[in-house]
Amino acid sequence: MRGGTRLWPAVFIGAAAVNFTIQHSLVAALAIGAGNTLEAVLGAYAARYLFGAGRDPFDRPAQIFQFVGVALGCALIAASVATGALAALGALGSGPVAANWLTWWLGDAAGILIVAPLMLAWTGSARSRAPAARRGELAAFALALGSICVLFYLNWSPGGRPLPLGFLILPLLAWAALRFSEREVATACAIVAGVTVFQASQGGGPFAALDLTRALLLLQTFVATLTTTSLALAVAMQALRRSAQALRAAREEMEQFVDVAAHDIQEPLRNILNFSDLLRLRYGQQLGGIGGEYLGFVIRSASRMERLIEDMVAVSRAGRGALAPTVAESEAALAAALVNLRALVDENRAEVTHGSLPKVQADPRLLESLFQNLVGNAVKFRGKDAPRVHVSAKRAGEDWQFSVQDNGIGIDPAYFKVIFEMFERLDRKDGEESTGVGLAICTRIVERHGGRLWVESAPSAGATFHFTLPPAGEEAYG
Amino acid sequence: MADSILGVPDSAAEPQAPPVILLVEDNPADVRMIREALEVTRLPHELYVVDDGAQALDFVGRRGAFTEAPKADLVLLDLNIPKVHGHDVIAKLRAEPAVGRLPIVVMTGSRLEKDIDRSFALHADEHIIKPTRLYEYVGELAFALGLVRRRTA
Repeated sequence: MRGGTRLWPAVFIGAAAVNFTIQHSLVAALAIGAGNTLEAVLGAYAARYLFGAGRDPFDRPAQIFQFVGVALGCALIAASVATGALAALGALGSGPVAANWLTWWLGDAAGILIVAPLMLAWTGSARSRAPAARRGELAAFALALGSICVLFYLNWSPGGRPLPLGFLILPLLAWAALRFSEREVATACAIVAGVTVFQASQGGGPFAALDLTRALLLLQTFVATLTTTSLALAVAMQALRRSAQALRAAREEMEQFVDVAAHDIQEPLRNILNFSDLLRLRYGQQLGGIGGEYLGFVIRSASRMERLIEDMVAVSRAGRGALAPTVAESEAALAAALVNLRALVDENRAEVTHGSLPKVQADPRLLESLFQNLVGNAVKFRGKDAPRVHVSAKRAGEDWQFSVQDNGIGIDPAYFKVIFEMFERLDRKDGEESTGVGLAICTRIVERHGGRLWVESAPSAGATFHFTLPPAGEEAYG
Repeated sequence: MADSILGVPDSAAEPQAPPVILLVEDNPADVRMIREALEVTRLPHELYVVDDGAQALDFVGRRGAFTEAPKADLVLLDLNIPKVHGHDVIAKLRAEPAVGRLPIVVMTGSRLEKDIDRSFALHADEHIIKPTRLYEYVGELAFALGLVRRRTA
């Protein structure tokens, strides 16, 4: 297949020569050679048509099954030509032609199914190679494969006749397919096939209970089934890994784009705001009341846009970059957040209290941002009474569960899902101050630390936001 | 203002000479904005503007086209400027013993932490992210001018 269709004369001569040296007459050898050559050429054409020239043939599991179809079809031609020729020449000896034809066909197809993937996997690009970190696992796999081959295929026969334990190889092949690549799977299949065929020819192995012809038939079917199934699994896993990789890359690219775009937008925005300020300062008198109002709209809109961009960058950053989880004093993080919120807290005459707060395994800066968003929201979405906010923590299994409780306007449970989405605001009461990304940022921060963020509330009954964080003293993660 | 930054007495004839600010900035809108904001501070100053890093080095060193230039008392430096990057300008200026203590304030649009860290690692006096509001600009520039008074006091 890799050589393409140009190599057919070599195939013809080789196949004919081999058959000539084995047993057959020159005419028979030429006929078989012609059949095999036709098989190879057609196979190469079909492969090129199905998989495209020069590419890695197996990208999707479906291609494995197309490949099986091609193998069966090509082997059918070769078997028909050869058996037909031999039957016509009377060289088959005794036995029904149909049985010979069937054995030839399945044997040939099984051969293609085992050898072709092996060649393709080992001559293909190196992208399917198992990572170096899996060397140890690969060794363990090889050991297990060897043991099974030795135990069940070569020697083991309790009470005389060996049991047909060939299926024991299936979990091993699944292991190879899930953890390694097509290369390991194809190799393992070839080894299993080699051992089985060898044992069958010696009258042993898992199919020894049958007579030779039927044993061979069963064996070929068995090996072909093993190879096809495990290869399909391996290719599916490979495709899955590739999509995960592509997804990660796409996400990274997106976040970089957000950064660059934000920076590029910030510059003209800076000029709009600065020169609007300057215009108001220098020409405010001339603009008069209405002109001043217009300018006010310009400034407020541009300011709002600036905040939106800053929040966009904050969301993008909260979800990526090196997480630096250390032992973080959550009390210190809350204190730092309260310093940033001082103006808001004072303005609303809010009272923020807290219970004893633990050390957690977290990035202190992200933890501060988390508290700042949650406490800030608790104060902003206030009711008629002065806001009272209480931050507490308790053990929840392995983790710490934090709660930020307020006496504000509360949230209708119908909106519990919506509020965690980006740029969602339930009402415009907080006006220009909020962009609606605060909770999206919080969710990202908590999830990056392996925790969970949720809310309990009812309209005009206050809201309590809960989140979990791992306790200090754990191994690094993320 | 009795002494220059090098401790050499200025000529007694000009005891009130306003500090010379060198602005290194290639964006005309930013130049204009900084010029206006400096005026709003009402602090005495004399502003010179160059638009690339090489000219900035020549101006401070009073070389090339700038042999007649006054001695700079404060450098306001953008980072993304032609010819010589802002950070390299700081490194070169700090390496010259004659201008070693000259106040250098980075004024840039970059919010990247690595840029900020590098500014301070090179001993810039301050790294200011260009403000979006006039009153913030005025405050930052007043602060920068304050560096001159403190350094020469």
